[in-house]
Amino acid sequence: MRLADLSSTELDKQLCGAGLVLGVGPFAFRIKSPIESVHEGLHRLYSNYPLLRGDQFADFDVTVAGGRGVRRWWRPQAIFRFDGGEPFLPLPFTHAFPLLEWAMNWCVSMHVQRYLLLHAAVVEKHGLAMILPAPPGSGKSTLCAGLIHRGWRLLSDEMALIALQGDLVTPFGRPVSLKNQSIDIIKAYAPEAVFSPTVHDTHKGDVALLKVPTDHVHRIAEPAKPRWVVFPKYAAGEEACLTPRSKAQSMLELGRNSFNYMVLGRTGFVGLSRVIDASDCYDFRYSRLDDAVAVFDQMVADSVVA
Amino acid sequence: MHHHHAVSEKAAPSLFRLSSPPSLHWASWGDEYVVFDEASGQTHLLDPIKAYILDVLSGGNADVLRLTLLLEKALSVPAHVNSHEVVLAALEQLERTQLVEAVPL
Amino acid sequence: MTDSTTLSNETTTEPIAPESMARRSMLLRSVGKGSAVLAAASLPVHTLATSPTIVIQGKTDAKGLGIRCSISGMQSGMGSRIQASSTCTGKSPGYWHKPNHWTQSQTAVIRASSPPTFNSFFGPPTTSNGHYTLEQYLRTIGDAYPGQIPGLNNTDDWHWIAAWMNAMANGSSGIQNFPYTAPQIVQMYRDPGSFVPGTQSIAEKRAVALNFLKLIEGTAG
Repeated sequence: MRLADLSSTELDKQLCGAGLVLGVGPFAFRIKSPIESVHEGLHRLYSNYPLLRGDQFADFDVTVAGGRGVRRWWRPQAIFRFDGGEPFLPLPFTHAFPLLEWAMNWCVSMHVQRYLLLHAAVVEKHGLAMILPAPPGSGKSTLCAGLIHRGWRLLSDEMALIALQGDLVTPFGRPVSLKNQSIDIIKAYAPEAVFSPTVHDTHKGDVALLKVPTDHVHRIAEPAKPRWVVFPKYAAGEEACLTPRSKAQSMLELGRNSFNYMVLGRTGFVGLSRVIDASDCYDFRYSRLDDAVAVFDQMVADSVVA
Repeated sequence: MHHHHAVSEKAAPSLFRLSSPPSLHWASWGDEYVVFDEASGQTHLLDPIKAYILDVLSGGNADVLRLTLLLEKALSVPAHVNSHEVVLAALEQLERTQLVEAVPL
Repeated sequence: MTDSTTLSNETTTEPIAPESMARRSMLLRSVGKGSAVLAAASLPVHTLATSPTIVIQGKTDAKGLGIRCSISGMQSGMGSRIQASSTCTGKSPGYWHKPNHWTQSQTAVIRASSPPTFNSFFGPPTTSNGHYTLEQYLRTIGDAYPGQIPGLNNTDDWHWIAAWMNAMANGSSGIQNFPYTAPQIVQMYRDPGSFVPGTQSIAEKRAVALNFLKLIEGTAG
C-alpha cells in the first residue's frame, strides 16, 4: 500500500491519531502531526512511498507539533518531538514540513549504527553508484536534482548508507532539499518535476523540496555497488573539469564527511576502505548541469566497455 | 656502501615502540598508507617511510640505529642521504601523533 | 636490546605476518622514486578529524543534520573518542555586551593598558572595522558610553570576538564543552586551513569555521 492510496480524510486521521507509518528505504517512521502543511507535504511528496500497518514496528517516532500556550497562535511555532524530548529549538509554523524532513535526518544520523553514514549524495546508473560528498554550499543538491532527471537513479541526496558487511550502498532516497536560486534552476531544467511550496525565511533563505521520481521510489530496495567517489565543486562560469585524486586522501575526506565513522571504530574503517577500494576518486569542477551529466555519462560508458 | 650517520649531540640511542598494544589496521593504495589505530580511534595517512617504521615497530621494539639500518637495506637509500636523520624525523612525527613513543630508560 | 651495527637479516621478536611482508615489499617498489619519498618522512602525519557537522543540543544546520561537537581531542591524546551525545554550548555575542558578564581574565585582556583592536588581536588578515577595540565591538549594542561605536554587531568580527569570549569563559556562565581554546580561536581566524579540511580557499575556510562557531552561539542557557 502506498500513501497515495489513502483518502485525504484517512491521511489526516492517522497523522492526528495513532500516527502514519511510512517506509523510507530501510527505515520506518511513525509520523504524527496536527499541522496541515505537514499533511499537504506528505501527500504531495511522499505519495509513492510505502505505508506500513499502524501496528507494525517503527524505527523512529517523530512528532511535529504546534507551539504551546500563546505560541499556538502568536508567532506560532512548529516543534519536533522525539522520545519525550525536543531535540531542536522551535521553528516558525510555516517551516513545519521542512522541519519534518530535518527531523527524519536527525533521527537517522544520531541513532543508526548498522550502516556507515556518509554526508553525501549517491546516484546510480547501470548498477554503478557514484558517491558525491560535499560540505554545505558546494552545489551538491542542485547537481543531484539535475542528475536524477537525466537518467540517474537517486539513492540519496543527504545521507549515504553503506552496509557494514560488503560495501553496497543502501538507498534512502527522499525529497531533495533545494534553496534559493537552485529552486528556479531545477524548475527550468526539469519542468516535469514536482515541488513542495517554497518556504521563505528559513535560516538558509528559501527552501523547497523536490519530489523523488516514482520509478526511483519503486526501486528503493535495490542497493548498488560503489564505483566512483566524486567531490563536486560548483564554480560559476567554469568548464567542466574532472581530475583524479588520491584514494587515501579521499578516504580521510569521506571519513570527515561521515556522521558516525568515528563511533564505529574498526568496523567503520573497514567499511570505508572497502568503498575506496571499489571506487575511483575525483575532484569535479563545473558550472553547467549539462556538462556534469555529459561527463558522468561518459564515465559510465567507459566503465561498461572496460 | 658506507653511510655516514651524523648524530647530533642531543640524539640519544632511544628505543621506540608502539604507543599501544598492537591494534593497528591498514589500508593502502599505491604509495599511500592509511592506518587505523583502534586504541585512540584515530585514522592516519602515512607516507611509505613512516608506514615502514610503524610496521617494523609492530613486530617489536627497535632502536633508532636498527631502524636506520633496516631502512637503508630495504630501500637502497642513496649514499648522500642521511638516513639516520630521516628516521629521526619520521619518528618525531609518529610520536606527535602518539602512534609511537620512546621507551623510558 | 643492544645496538646492532651490522645486520644481515631482520630479527624481530615475532614472525612477520603475511600481510606485513606484502606491505613491506610494496614499499620496496615505491621508494625507487627516491628523494621525494624520503622528504615526506619528515612531514606531519595527516590525521582524520571529524568535521563539525552533527548535533549540538537544540541547534541544527540547514538540513537538520545538526552539529555534533568535536571535542578538541585531536590534541588531547589517546583514548579520546568522540562521544555521540556530547553537547557543547556558548553564549550569543549579545550576552557579552555587559562588562559585568565578563570574567576577570577576559577583562584583563579587553582592558589592558593598551586595549587591543580587532586587527591587533586577531589579524592578519585585517578588516575594515578592525581598528576598533574589542571593547568597542562587544559594547556596540547596549547602554551608551563614551567611545561606543554602534553598528558593529552582526559583523563577522563581532562573532569572532564572541567565540573568543566563549572560549575564555568555558566552564562558567553555563558554557560547557566549548570545543576550542581561546588561542585556537585566534589561530582559526588566522589559519583556518589548520582546522578546516578540504580544497576551498582560505577565505572560504574561514567562513566555514565561523559558521560552525556561530551555530554554537546562544546555546548556553
